[in-house]
Amino acid sequence: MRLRSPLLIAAGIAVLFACGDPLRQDELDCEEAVSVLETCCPGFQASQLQCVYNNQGCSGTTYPALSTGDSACIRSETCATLVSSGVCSRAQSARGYTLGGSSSPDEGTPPSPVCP
Amino acid sequence: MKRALLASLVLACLATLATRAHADPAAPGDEPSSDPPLRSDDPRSHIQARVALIGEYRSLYDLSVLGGGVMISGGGDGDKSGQFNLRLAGGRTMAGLSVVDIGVGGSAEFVVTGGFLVGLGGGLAVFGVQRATDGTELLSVGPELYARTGYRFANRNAPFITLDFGSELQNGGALVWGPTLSLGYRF
Repeated sequence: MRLRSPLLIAAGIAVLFACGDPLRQDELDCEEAVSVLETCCPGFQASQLQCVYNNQGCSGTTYPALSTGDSACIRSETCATLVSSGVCSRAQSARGYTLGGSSSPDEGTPPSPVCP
Repeated sequence: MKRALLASLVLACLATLATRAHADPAAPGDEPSSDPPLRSDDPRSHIQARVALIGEYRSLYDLSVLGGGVMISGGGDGDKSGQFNLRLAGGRTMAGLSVVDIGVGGSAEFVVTGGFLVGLGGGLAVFGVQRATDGTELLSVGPELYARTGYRFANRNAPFITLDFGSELQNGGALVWGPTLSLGYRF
């Protein structure tokens, strides 16, 4: 009986391992920047942005709405600057974008930076 | 679903600790045995439980996380001993993202002089970050390793303090690293 518990734990860990989400820097930086924008920008709706990287193979690759560069910029600015320079409004309208894909591999370009 | 799996894992670990503690014939509160009562200076090694409050810092890419929680351990109490550890911690990034850090594994400690000790540990760690955008959780599981130093005020029924420094290798190649300070009591 004493042997079974460690085996059950190991099995549980193995199941969890299979369910693990990749911790990507671009997604985490984007989420952190959105958290900053939520704090600094009046009325900012975080739920309208997507910070998801998704490689869909032939359908192309979807990137987070805020690039790593934008995210770093947002996190380095003061709240007053984010509001006065228009970063809040530009970030609110940012959307995730898809590049590549076999149907239209040349379609789509990365959006313009939102910060500064 | 993921939180349910996590809860199951935590319950399994706690059940294992309880089973081990109950199996110790010299544990306080058990049926009387032929063994003499334990003394704090008894040189023999026994199984014991530890509970500690922890504070931790974690770095992941550009994110800095400050957190706190509890650590529950079971194992030997000798000058060279091994422990089974369960660490449950929560925290926040500088911008306010909610983070969970759970570790399950083992460690070995060696008392070098007086109550000072050094050690090594490892196991598996669950690291989760709650998204600001939709509230869902990114949960990853990966191996962790750490080095330990600390001080025991006595081998049994006394407080202790440890400082761990280590890293977790999470899914996607993410390296989570940082120190953990524990202040607890050995039963």
